[in-house]
Amino acid sequence: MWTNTTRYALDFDAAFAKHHGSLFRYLDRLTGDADAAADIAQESFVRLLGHPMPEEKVRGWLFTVATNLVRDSARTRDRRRRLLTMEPVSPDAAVRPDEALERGEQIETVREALDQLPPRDRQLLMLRQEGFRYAEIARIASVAPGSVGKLLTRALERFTRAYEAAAGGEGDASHS
Amino acid sequence: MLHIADDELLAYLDDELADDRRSHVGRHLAECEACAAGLESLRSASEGLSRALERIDRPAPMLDIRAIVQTRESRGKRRLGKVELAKAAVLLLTIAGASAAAIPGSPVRVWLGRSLDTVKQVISPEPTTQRAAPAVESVPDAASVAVAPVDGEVRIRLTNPAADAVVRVQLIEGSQAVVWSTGARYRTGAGWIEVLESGPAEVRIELPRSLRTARIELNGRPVAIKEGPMLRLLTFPDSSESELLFRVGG
Repeated sequence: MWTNTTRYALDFDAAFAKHHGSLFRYLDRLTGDADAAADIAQESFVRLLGHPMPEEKVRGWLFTVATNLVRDSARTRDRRRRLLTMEPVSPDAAVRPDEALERGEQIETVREALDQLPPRDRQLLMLRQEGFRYAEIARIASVAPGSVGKLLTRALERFTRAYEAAAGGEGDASHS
Repeated sequence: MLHIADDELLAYLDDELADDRRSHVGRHLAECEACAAGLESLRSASEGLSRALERIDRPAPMLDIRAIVQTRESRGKRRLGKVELAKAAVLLLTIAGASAAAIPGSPVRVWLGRSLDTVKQVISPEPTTQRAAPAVESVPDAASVAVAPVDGEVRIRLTNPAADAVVRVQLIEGSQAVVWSTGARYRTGAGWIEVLESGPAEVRIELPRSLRTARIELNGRPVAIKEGPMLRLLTFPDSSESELLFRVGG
């Protein structure tokens, strides 16, 4: 077992196994850039080793660090733009071309809708998707706790509208 | 009747209301069709968002966080830069090899001779084994073995290679990962190849450029990875290249 301090004796391997998947998913959804998401998730875990804390605080801490890294990363924003045009249709060679095309179009629609949202809206929605409570969302995204409900509602409405527009009015996020 | 605001309906949906307020909203929803419809609309939008996000989700890459941290820790202790060190190692190998090869009967000369034989043997572009079965399969004495990636990932294991073997990793345009070696036995499975006891000649690993991730392990320890478009030697994290060359013993 790797520990980051003797005081808290955090099982680093267990923390990595427990949180890496959801942290990567959050970052990938947020940035649209798998490389940047992997880099930032890795950097967050590396920093965890130098920060002793009780196990129950690890998840919130990791997401806070990762969110700040995304915010600070101009490179991530550049990559996200690049990925909008370079996103591979599918890494799976076994997928039939028509299925791959359809899946590629679906991905493009979702990413286009997400790209229409202000960064803070994306952060709030993705944190809610990861199951964080409003108080934790407020801490991680640096917003007033009392405003999370209103901000989330507005972000959800914006996403739904953007998704409908990106899908060409043929469907919506709630019925597809 | 005063209606419930959308943000409070969402908080109700997310179970974020205090008990007394939750009871109040619950009673109101039982009597107010407009607010009940508003709640359903939010629930539908929320579920739609979840489904949309699931469409863009990709599997998290394999990471050996221990190796990365250990590398960073040791990096701080080094004075010489990592890339310079890697280049120096390759240069040293080249110089040592060239010098030793000039000596008749020297081991390096013998090694180079075997390498040339290897090149002759692998001149055919078609790998000997085209595809790995899902179950583990032993492939004795083949010049090369290929496997198809699984979920965009491939793992290559080098087990007990000769101490002075050189490993060359290249990105290719094909769809399968291929390992070329002589004197080795192979084991393959879905998305992985194990090269057992390869000789001192070069082991060439060809990885499809389209792979999402690949990991190369030496006696169980990851030594190189493909992340996105680049290859990276884990002992020299800044050594991102489209081709890697490293020596097993060094």
